Amino acid sequence: MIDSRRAIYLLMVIAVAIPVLLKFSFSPARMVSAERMFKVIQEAEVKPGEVAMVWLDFGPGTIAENQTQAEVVVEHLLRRRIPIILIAQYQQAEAFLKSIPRDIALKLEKEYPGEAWRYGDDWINVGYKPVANLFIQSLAATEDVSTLLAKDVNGSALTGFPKFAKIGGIEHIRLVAEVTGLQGVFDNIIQFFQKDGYRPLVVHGCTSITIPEAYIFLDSGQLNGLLEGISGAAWYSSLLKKEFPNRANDTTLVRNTAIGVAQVVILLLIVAGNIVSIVSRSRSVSRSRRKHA
Amino acid sequence: MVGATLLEVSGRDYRRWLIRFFTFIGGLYFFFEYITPEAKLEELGLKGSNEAIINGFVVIGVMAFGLGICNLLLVHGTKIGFRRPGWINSTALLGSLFAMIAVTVGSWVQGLSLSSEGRQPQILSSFAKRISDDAQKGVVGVPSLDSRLKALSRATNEEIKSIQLRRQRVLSAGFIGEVFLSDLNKAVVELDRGNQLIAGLPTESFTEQHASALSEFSKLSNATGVVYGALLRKHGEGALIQRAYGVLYGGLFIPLGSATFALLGIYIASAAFRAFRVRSLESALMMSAAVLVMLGQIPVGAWIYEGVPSLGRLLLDLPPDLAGRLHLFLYEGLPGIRQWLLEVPNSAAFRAIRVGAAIGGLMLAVRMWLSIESTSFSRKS
Repeated sequence: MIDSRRAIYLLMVIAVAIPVLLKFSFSPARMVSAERMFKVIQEAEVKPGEVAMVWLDFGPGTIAENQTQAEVVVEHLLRRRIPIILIAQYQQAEAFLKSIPRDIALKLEKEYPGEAWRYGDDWINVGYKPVANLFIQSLAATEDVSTLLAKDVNGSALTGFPKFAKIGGIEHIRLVAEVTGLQGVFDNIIQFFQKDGYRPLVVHGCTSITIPEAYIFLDSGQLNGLLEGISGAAWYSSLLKKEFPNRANDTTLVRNTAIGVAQVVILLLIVAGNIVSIVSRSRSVSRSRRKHA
Repeated sequence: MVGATLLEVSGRDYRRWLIRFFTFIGGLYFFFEYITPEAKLEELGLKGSNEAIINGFVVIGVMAFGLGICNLLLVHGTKIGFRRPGWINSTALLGSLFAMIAVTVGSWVQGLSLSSEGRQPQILSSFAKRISDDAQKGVVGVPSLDSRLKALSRATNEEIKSIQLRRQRVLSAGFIGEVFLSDLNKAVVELDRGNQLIAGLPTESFTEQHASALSEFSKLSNATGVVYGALLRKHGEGALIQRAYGVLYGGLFIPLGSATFALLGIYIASAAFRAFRVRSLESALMMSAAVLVMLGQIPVGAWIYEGVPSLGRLLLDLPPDLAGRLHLFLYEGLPGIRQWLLEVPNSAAFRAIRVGAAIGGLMLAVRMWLSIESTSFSRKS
């Protein structure tokens, strides 16, 4: 007979696998913070010469949540034709800096035949930057971000990309997005990405574990929008679909449904565990009473 | 070793004092740099040097990677060399390290070579700008305007040929989209037009016509560079080294890393059944908050309503007011409760934790700054 632990493992595998394999999805829950973020990006007034900076700081461990968040944010920025600088403080994110915008650009080109989104014009990848807390301070202090960054990840000078050739100080970085599940990484942005009289619009995608910590910045106004785990990404994805009806379905809703089903299973297990505990406790109490009697 | 011995001459541990001194100076510098207003830094002429100092620290940080690799080689190399327990794991680790380094370096070198090729139109653009600037400023000691314009035109012709040759190679590889090719064709036609403008310029003296033609050429050449660079990158993606990188990173590293992290979900499910027990008021409160937050994140009510059509029909039969309220509760009620829990009690608790941690961190920083905390470099250790 299967012991309870193995049965639970099996139950979880089935709970996650069914929505993924059958590719079915339910509506995501409404996320007010994701709506705020959507509004921020949708209404951001980015003048010619200004850019957005997207920090992708996640590795394989959190791609289920962070990758979907990064995809919806990059997609929204590309749809709005806001030039993006992709950058990382975490070395394992390096591969995602290349793959995410490339895949989104292909998706958009299918949706809008005849239009092109291309590297160097719509986005650039400046790669991983070590010792990020000092690097961000340097970024905040510099008079020209392009001169400080100098080259992209392939070694091409930024002067070769007209939209990124002479950005100027960080006040020309209109919006900063940070997608991470790591502790302390987002703090670097909040702490150092500012200068006298200037603070960019900051949006953040975090994993479910770090949601409680991110809320303090949302409440204080230091954060202008938040994607909470995969649920946030799923709600954002549905908002994109509403705004751009021809948008092809992505996997975010299916993934959200799979995780939701797994969470329902966990809730049921908590209830079942408590019932088992109450029953066994009452049995042992009545047994001990009988013994004393 | 020799350096360390020299620093400990006559029984005095100068190394320790040197480290303490630099730690103190570094701490002092960053403290004052952080609290000094930017305008004051500029007034003191420290703004530029501050950037250089910060970059210097970034470089020191990067050295840690080299140090890490040396350490790995030393620890695991010794294990393998002396066949100590676990040497097979060490071999796998070093093997993976070298394989990943080889593929990453290969991919980087390929990227460099492609970007150098893609940079050519941008070099032509800079050259055109330089000719114009030099002529306007009357710079002496540079070749004549005529020979520079001819050189620019010749180089542009060669570049157009080279782009077309590459285009043929890319076409035969067969994975470039229509938009890419048509944009490249347009860019090459435009670059050729820019070249015709240059070729048709009079060569006697520099005029407004020259300035305007060179500026136009510079723009066209730059635009060609962006399109050509994108094409080269696209072409590079199909290269063997990129596929090897894809297999190692996308095919091995990402699935292995994700699978390891995914085990957490399974353990949480097991722990939910075994450990989450309501035994006191506090645990009941915590459990209720957790359940409400989870339910707010997964609209179970709405799912049941959507998934079981008969329920939907039942809802239609209800009085409109009641149906509206039920609908609102299913779709927005629980997420609203979750939002309140996170925004109010959670934020209050987390702020208290953060303030406490910040005070602790500050104390630790002061102790490290004054070298009270660390005994790593003391004589005793």
